[in-house]
Order: sequence, then C-alpha cells, then structure tokens
Amino acid sequence: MTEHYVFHSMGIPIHITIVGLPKIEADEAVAKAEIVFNEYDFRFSRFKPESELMALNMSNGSWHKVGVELFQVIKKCVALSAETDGAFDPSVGGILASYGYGLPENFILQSNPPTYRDLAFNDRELLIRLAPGQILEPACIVKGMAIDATGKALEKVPGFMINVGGDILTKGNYEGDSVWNIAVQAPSNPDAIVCAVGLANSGMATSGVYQTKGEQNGKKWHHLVNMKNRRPANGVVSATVIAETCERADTEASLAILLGPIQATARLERSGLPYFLIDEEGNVHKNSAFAKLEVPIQSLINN
Amino acid sequence: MPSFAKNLQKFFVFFFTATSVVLVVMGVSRIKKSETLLEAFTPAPGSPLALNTLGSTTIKGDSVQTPWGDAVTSITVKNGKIIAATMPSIPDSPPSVYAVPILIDQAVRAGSANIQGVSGATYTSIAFKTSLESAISKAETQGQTIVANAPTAGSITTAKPSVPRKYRERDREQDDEEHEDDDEDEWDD
Repeated sequence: MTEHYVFHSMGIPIHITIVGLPKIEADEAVAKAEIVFNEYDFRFSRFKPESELMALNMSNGSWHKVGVELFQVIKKCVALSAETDGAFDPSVGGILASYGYGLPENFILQSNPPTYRDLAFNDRELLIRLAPGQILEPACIVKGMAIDATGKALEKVPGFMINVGGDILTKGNYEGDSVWNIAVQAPSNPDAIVCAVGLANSGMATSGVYQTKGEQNGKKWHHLVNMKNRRPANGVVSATVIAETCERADTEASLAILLGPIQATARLERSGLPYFLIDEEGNVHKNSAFAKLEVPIQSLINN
Repeated sequence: MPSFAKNLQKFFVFFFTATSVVLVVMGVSRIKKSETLLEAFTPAPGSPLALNTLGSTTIKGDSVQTPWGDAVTSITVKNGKIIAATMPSIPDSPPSVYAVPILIDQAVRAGSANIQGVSGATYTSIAFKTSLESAISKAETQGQTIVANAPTAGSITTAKPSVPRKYRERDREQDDEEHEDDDEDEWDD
C-alpha cells in the first residue's frame, strides 16, 4: 500500500510517501509529521515575527534566554562557521533581510556587519548575546534537522520518503522492494533532471543557486551568501550530497556552494560522502560513491 | 699510522655519516610530506586556472574502481601547497563530463516515470502522477475545486494551498485569488 500526502509547513509544500501501512495508520503517521514540522517552524522561522528565533534576533545586543534546542542550533552554526573560516556564517540573516528576504522588514545592513565571532554564549544559563544589528539565519541546518526529527517520529513506518522542497529522507523500500528513485533537478530547468540515484535509508539534499533568488538595486542575489566577502557564492551552481542524515546532507550541500569547487570537492572527498556537483560551465564533478548509486534516467522514464 | 691517513679516515667517516644523515632526513621529510598530502588529498575540478607552476610537482592519486572503470585524480603541489587538482574522471560513465538536462515533465504528466522524488526541486517534490492525483483529491476534501487543464471560476481557496504552485498555476490560470503566501520559499538551501 502506498499513500501520498502533501501538506504545507515552513512556507513550502511537504510531500510524504508512506509504504506498507493501512491508510488509517499512514494518516496518523503523517499527522505526527505535520506536528514536528510546525514545531520547528514555530521555533526557528525567520519569517514569523512570533518565533523564538525572531525574539532572539530582536534582542538587540543584550543577553537573551533561549530554549536548549535553539541554543544548540546556534552553537552548531558557530562550529560550522569556524570550520569554514567564516564562509558559512549564521549572521547571513542580516544580508538576506536587507534583500527583503525574511524578517526584519526594511532592514538596513551596517557597512561592517557583525560575524559569528561577535556572538557570545552563556552555556550554563542558555543565554546568547547578539551584536547590535546582528540577524541570525540557521535555516541551513534547521530544515535537515526537522526532516530527521520527522523521520524519527515515523520510526514504525516500514517505508517512507519525506521530501521538503527537494531535501529528501528515505527509509526502507518503495513499492515491490525497489529502492527509492530520486532524481536531481537540472539547475537551468525546473522540468528537467540531470541524474537519478537509488536511495535507501539515507538523506539527500541538493543546494542550488537557482532556488531562491532576486534582484535588488539592479544587482542579482541568491540565498547562498559566502560570508567572507558577503557576496552570493559562485563557481558551483548545484550541489547534491547523500548522507546518513538529511541534516548532514543538507549542510554539506549548502557548504559546497559556499566554498566553491576546489574547497568543496576537497571537503567532500575527505568526508567520503557521495556527491554530485555542477559547476558554472555545466561540468559535473562526482565521486565513485555517487556513481555507484546512480540509475540511468532512461531506464526510469521509458517504461 | 701516519696522521695524514688518520685524518683522511676521519674525514671519510665524517663525510659519509653526514651524507647519509642528510639523505635520511631528506627521505623522511619526503615521506612526511606525502602523508600530509594524502590527508589533504584534494581532487577539484580541472578548472583552467592560470597558475605559476614553476617548481611544482604533479602527483597522481590511487586509482579508484567505479562501475565504468578506474578513476584517477591528480594534484599539483608547490611549496607544500596544492595549487591545482583534477577531478576524478570516470571513463565512459553516462553524464560524467557534462550535465545533460533530460526533460521529465512530459513523462511525469503521463505517469510513466519511475521517479519518486526530485532533489533540489523547490516547487515541490511531486514528480509523478499518482502523487499529483492524491494532492488534488486532498485539496478537494479541503474545499478546493481543481479541474485539470480547464480554467475554473469561483473556486474556494484555503489559506494553506495543498497543491504545488507549479500545477496550480498551470491548471488555474484564470484564478486570480492567489495568496502572497505562495511566493515564500523560506527554507531553501
């Protein structure tokens, strides 16, 4: 039995496919999933004025008490920032807000905006102090975390796929014991794909500079900003990573875009994770771990 | 023994000891270097960077087996730093060199694609017909009216659209009751 569900949370449609359960149990599982996503949205959204994250973002340079989940998320972000020497930085929220993407509204960026190094933590009291004018956006890891948490909530489901805006977690098998066939979207065309893999019990995420973008004062922007130079990253237009969790896949895919082709491939080769990158010229860079999972597209669309 | 011969002997002993020490040190440092290089093994795209390759060394990595043959990566090293790297080229693998977009929309609409999801697709994950159908049926239970490929008038919309925007727009072009909410793709990365 296969059931498909689509609901709306975190500002995007969420698609869940459940295999191997009677419909009534599948319905229950998806209701659970919806609760998990709404909780994450409520806590970590930079688009909801009432979220815990926005309360922190509005705390204006004074010590602010947060829940342990948000505390850990921001700590994780800072660790990633240190690892990437600041190419990734949760302070990107300020830049995105200045583009008009998310809250606060009408945000004007300082000429020398604060970085992750300006954050202060009190581990015992769970306090965080932002620098004045600092806006945090931890979405890079939060979306994957929400997907993994949902996966845990669906522990008893024999087979599922959770797909949130193209970030995917699968468990078990699809119909007839086959693996889940997941394609990778073409960066240039939303109706086209460039490759497909058979995915089992893994997270898979594709980050692309084509996804969220806009134009401000005649300058084009997208949401993946290298915080070292505070400009939208270039070099890699699409990065797909497969990992044991969706959080890891999502984080590594985003970092691959931020770091650019040379550093990204070095980092991914060290990690050993299957990866598939497309650079500006349209060239594909992938490792053998990814190639092993690949399924020829023609075998999937000609039957 | 004359002192000259003694001195010569001393000289030779000193000379060979020194030479072998130098050789050993050189050897060890080379081994060490290659170890750190292995750690920093950095295959990267063969971007035609304008590099000053004077005094650099190019080192080939181990070949890695793939379903299509062996893949080899090489790096170029200068002063202990990697200044260039070539990506592992996988011989004869289907789209290993260039990303070839293959249109799936037609196949998806015809319901003939054996694809359960599309990674990186912001619009929605729904990439096949059965899923679209269930989304539509769910939307209908929520009070929406959706007629495929025909403009609908006076349909009721709910605050949380359940059908991907892509399909909504295509199927309901005449419906001007769109929500601001639809344009938010808040959690992309």
